[in-house]
Amino acid sequence: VWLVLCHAGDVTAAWCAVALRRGGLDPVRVVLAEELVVGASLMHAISATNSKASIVLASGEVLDSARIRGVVNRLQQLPENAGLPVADRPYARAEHTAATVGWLATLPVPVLNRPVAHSLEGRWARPGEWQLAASWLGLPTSGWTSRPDPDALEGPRVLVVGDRVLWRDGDVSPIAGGGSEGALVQLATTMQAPLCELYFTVTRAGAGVYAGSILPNVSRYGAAAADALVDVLRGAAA
Amino acid sequence: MTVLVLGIPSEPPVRAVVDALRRCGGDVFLWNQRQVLETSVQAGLTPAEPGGQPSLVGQLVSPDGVVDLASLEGIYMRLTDNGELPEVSGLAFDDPRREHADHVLDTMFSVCQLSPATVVNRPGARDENGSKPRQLQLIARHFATPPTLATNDPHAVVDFWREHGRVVYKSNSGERSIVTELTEADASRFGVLARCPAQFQALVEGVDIRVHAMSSGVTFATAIAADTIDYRYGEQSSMEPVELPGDVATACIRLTVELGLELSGLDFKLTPDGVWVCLEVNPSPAFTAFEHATGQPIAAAVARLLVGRNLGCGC
Repeated sequence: VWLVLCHAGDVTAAWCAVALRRGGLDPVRVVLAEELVVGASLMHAISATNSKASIVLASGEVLDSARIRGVVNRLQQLPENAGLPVADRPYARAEHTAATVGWLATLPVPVLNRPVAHSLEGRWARPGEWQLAASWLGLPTSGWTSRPDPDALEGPRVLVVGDRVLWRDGDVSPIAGGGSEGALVQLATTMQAPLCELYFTVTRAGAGVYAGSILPNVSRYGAAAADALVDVLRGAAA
Repeated sequence: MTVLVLGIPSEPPVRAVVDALRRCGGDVFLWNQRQVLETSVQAGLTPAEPGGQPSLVGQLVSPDGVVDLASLEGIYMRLTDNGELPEVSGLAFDDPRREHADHVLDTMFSVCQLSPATVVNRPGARDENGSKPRQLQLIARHFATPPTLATNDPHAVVDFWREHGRVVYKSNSGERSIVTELTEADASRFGVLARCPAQFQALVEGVDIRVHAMSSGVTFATAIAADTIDYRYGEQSSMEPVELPGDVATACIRLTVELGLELSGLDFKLTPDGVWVCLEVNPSPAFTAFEHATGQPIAAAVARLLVGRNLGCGC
């Protein structure tokens, strides 16, 4: 089974699920954050030699790690459990999140994107961190300041899915030059975000990397993004 | 070159690091987080051409002075959430002063992530114990770890308990919890477990050892004898320095670096048959209790780590 983990109302997640099914991945199961909390049982056994996990949803359906072949992860925060006293809910949510991270972080299949210890959605980073990593890879960067800049995210963008760099119809790659697409893929890899959208700002001096988003609106990139998602999830799972 | 210490001056590790730096003649600026409302900070990264390197620029202005963020050789960070400060906790969420405090803190986190200085520890790495089940799987690459079950399923806990005989439980997350042995009395609370998972581990018999490891290759090990399972909460405990076997020390340093940390606190059980079982890694260790009890010069070593050299004071 391929999982799409998301929140209710996440249109991009629904688009991803359709794209995966049309691409021949079967079955694809969309799992809402609430399903992972309310009435669900999580069991993650860790021994010196291996790790085994499963989640039994309230419906009785079992998500067995051994049967999961790939994950699109768009979870940001698990909901609080309304069945607990109000004062206990934040602690319980932290516990549920930590256990869910422990499960997802070590699945031996592609996870787009894999959670990190403090963030269910993956490694969230500030613009300066994207830029520092970009510069290490030889990419131009546009500079960052701690003063809010509402225009900073209005420039060109590209989507990275695995080893592919995609841009929207009518757009051109904001960074010219041989090898730059490979560097953008490396940037995504360095930031532990094989699925991400990179933002650029353009000045008279040229375009530079500004920041990245680990929860991109994949659907804006159309059929090419759907194909890339399927290939990454199927290719690595084969 | 300045070492910037970020935190609350009354906190023992903050005080110890500042004292060690000053004792050795280091140039240290202590930013008191409780002055967050009277502090302003501006920071930025310069643009970089292809193949170039951006530079961190900016300054921190507090009632105690001004710090050039471009000329730091080390940062020791022990910041707390603004909401826990008396100066901020009473402010409404839409109060501009709270917004200002959050902006200052967020900018300082950025500075700690971006600065080329040695940072003990960078914020991204400090959060590494946010999921203990995840961390345990990273630890297992270097050390023996106890059989562990993260679950909210009471039946799974009972099976695990039967299999291992004696079991302890603690939090999955970075939230502080008291490590406690599972008893029959806990079984009556299994109904709550279904709504709030916990982490269960086979109880490991042996001596508690805390290792403070630094990326610079320095380690300090302390054996703890306590009358409770969680030595932090014992009424009677004693500590004494112990020598670490070379391979254990090396593995402690490797794991510390692998987790992106400059300083870590690793908790072990040394079993009667000589196995070092690692329970968890603390990315923000309060090392002063161990220093005071054993005389190990941990703060001085942190000071040397921050400046990247011996300070010529013989510490």
